[in-house]
Amino acid sequence: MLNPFMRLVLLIVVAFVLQGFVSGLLGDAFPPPDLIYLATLVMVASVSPFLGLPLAFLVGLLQDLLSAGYPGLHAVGLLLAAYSFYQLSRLVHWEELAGQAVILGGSFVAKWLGVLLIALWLQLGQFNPLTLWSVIVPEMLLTLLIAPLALRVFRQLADRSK
Amino acid sequence: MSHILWRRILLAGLLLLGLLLATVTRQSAPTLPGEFAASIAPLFGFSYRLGQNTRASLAALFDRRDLRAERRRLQVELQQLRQENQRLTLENRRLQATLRVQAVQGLGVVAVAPVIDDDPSGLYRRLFLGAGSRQGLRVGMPVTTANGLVGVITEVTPNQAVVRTILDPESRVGVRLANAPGRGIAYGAPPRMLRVEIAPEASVKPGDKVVSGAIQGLYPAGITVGTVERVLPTAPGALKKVLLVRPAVQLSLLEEVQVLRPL
Repeated sequence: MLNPFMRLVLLIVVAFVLQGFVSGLLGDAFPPPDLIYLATLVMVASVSPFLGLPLAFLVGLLQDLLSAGYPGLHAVGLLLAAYSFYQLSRLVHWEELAGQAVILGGSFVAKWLGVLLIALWLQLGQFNPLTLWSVIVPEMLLTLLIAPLALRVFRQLADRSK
Repeated sequence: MSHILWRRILLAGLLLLGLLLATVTRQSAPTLPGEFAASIAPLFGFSYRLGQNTRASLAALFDRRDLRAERRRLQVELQQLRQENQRLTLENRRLQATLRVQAVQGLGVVAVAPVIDDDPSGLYRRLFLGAGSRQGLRVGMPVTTANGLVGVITEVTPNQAVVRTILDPESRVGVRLANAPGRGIAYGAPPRMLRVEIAPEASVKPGDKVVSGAIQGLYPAGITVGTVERVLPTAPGALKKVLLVRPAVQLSLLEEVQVLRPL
């Protein structure tokens, strides 16, 4: 049996593998749903905020490095997503469907705010909501659509760590 | 001190770390992410290929109608293709000789490289090639296919390279209209379009071809970039006309690309 830490590592590796698979499956037609973001939420839900926030930051950093992008862009995105997850979890229940929808919607917006914050800091004029809405909106819709199934799979991986 | 305060301090600290990392790596180590991604790409590239193959299999499954008739048709086609193959072998020899001349006198193909992975983010549009500096690839080399322009190499390791495609939000390509006067710049507009800004006087309509056109840019002039799909309405007094262009190359289906000598 794997220890809890190795289970979380496995969860993230599976998320990256699935992300690659879905990207290849959808091709150019749609931006792929953000499975790494969903796996990060499942991961932070199973640990305390003091461990969850740095872990979310590290997963984002890995995503930046794998994307040959600016280190910090996704790292801060996932950090803010995790933080908003913890904040919203105090208001609604993550285990209930309505609460899950609120948390997913709120943390998804927080993720993109984090990405755009770093883009603003680096003065990347091309990364602005007016030009990226065609990525953000379909990605959000597909992510929310696939969330029930993806969260169930990711939770099974993470729950075995308990 | 309360947990909430510590949590906020942790958030602020990580936020600052993110800003610091982004700043330092952009100014001091800009090639670090590219080198890392190129090294790791083969590990996760298999799942991307698996997704591509699944999509192709599903398409084949849905498109299939009559296998027996298809088989007969394919057998006839096979015979024709064998004949054609012999003819093409001879023609290939002739064209290879032509290519050798072109390589000496003008822009030559440095390498034919396999595409091994796509980036795992919907934000960027980058490709990872299974060839690197050992195969002669260098940063700044244009990447193309027979159908049209793909992008430019931005990072190279001994056996891998990262390509910033023309759909990437950071991509800029100097373009001109193929059949009418007018120069402009094509910006990447993911997920699958290009946004071209051109002089308002240019006469352009949907269906017109756009080709690379900068005399001293990153890309050789005259390579097909895409086809105009929409011409956005121009406001009175506007300094630019905006076109939405569909790229000539379907990036998700790429298996091999040609890398050209840099300008």
